Amino acid sequence: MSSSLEKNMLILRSSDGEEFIVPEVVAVMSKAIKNMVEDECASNTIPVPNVDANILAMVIEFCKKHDESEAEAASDLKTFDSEFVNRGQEALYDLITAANFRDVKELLDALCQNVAEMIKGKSVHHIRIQFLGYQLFEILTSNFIWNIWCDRDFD
Amino acid sequence: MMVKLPEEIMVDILSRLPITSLCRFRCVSKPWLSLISDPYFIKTHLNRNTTNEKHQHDRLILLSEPCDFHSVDLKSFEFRDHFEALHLKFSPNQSPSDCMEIWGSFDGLLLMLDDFFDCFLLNPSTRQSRKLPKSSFSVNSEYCFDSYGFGYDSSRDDYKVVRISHHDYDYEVDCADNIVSVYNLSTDSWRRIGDSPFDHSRDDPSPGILLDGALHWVTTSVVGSNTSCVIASLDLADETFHSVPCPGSVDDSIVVQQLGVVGGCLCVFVPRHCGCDDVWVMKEYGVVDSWTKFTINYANFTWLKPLSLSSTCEFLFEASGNKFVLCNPLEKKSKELVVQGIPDYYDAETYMETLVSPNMPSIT
Repeated sequence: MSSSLEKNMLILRSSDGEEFIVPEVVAVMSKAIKNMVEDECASNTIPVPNVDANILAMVIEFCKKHDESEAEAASDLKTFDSEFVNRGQEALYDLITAANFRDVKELLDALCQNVAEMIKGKSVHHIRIQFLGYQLFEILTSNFIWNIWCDRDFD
Repeated sequence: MMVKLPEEIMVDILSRLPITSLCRFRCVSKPWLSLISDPYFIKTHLNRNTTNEKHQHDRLILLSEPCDFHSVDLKSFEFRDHFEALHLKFSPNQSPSDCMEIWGSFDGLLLMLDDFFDCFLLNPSTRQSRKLPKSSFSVNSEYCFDSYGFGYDSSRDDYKVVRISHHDYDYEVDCADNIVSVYNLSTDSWRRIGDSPFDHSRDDPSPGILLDGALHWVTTSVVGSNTSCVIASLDLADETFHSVPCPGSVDDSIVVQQLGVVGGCLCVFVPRHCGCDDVWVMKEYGVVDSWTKFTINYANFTWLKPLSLSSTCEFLFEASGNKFVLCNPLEKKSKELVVQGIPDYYDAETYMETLVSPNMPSIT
């Protein structure tokens, strides 16, 4: 299969078996894949365990954009990044896990910054319910005064 | 979603948040509290915010009688015309005792002195404070003065307080009359180091100014029968004294006052009492020829304390303890910077918001 492949292209196989043909420069934005390529243990298809096709496609889209837009204005890339990371919590979680596991620094950076912006101004109750999955009754039955104290302003 | 994230990712995300959010989020859950209080996290948060030296001057802290604190956001002050002082509230058990003066500021920690001349360290962002033990190293004299300085020794990852005890009852320049001691936060104790070769007696003892890991004071140097004004520097890593030449040290008539650091350069205020005052900036550290002068034609100030430099090269000064002045040396213009809700008289210092705890052992 590798013989029919264009030079400098790699095949990435997602956890659910889908294959993506990706330029090497894009694929090696993942440090983990870069190490594999450098150690020459990536002759054929590179398996990307724990990352399904849906998420892998997103990661590749991000890396492609960052690879192409080296010459572009930094502000355009910023706009792309902020639109790219604007997703639901499930997708964000999967993307963070993939970026962390595959060591894609730029993506992890953009994702963490996005989550930080999401939670920055939130109250303690919001964090507990929306991000930590606390049930409403847990909060209502816990100490009422304590909760008021938690949400006071520290300025 | 966030329950499942690995700890290093949580550190990455939370270290991007401002202090007000982090203080609030300490009560989200026990794991969050222990993460936010962890010395490693505090260091990560600090490092993310100190990549630029400018951040050390992000905010102003104003201390007024009776032990009242106000904080002013200084971010991009050159482009704003509205400033408001926030009153810092302390709960009764957090309230520091009667603090009188601010003697130093670094990494969000303030070195303060109270009515009984006891030192303590305060982080105004987290309200944590720590009273330091008394230094037993002081000159035995009725006319004893103390100068203090506060800084960070990066070679040992330790915060240090320096106390120079000196006496001067006959107003004669005499370098031998001083005892220098250093307090390490990691060991919580004072120890004596070599005496300063300079005469530290001044009309008004002034705080040590921190630049490039060394504390600086305006002092007098004696060579034979000649005396001259020099800036003494104490390297916090090897704890030895050096000297930095004052501007125009050939011309002895210059009276150097109010040492400060702006934009990473040493800076002094020289009053001329003729409707205009001089400010000298040492553009290249240690190079006497790099002292550059500009004149301020605003009004007569008793003193100007250099605080900060904007990206448009405007200098921010505290003037006579009751107003802030913005000077543009290129256009030779000065204007008052009006801050809403500030007390009538105050002691002002720049600081940054951090989680660094005065009670924290360093992590190495």
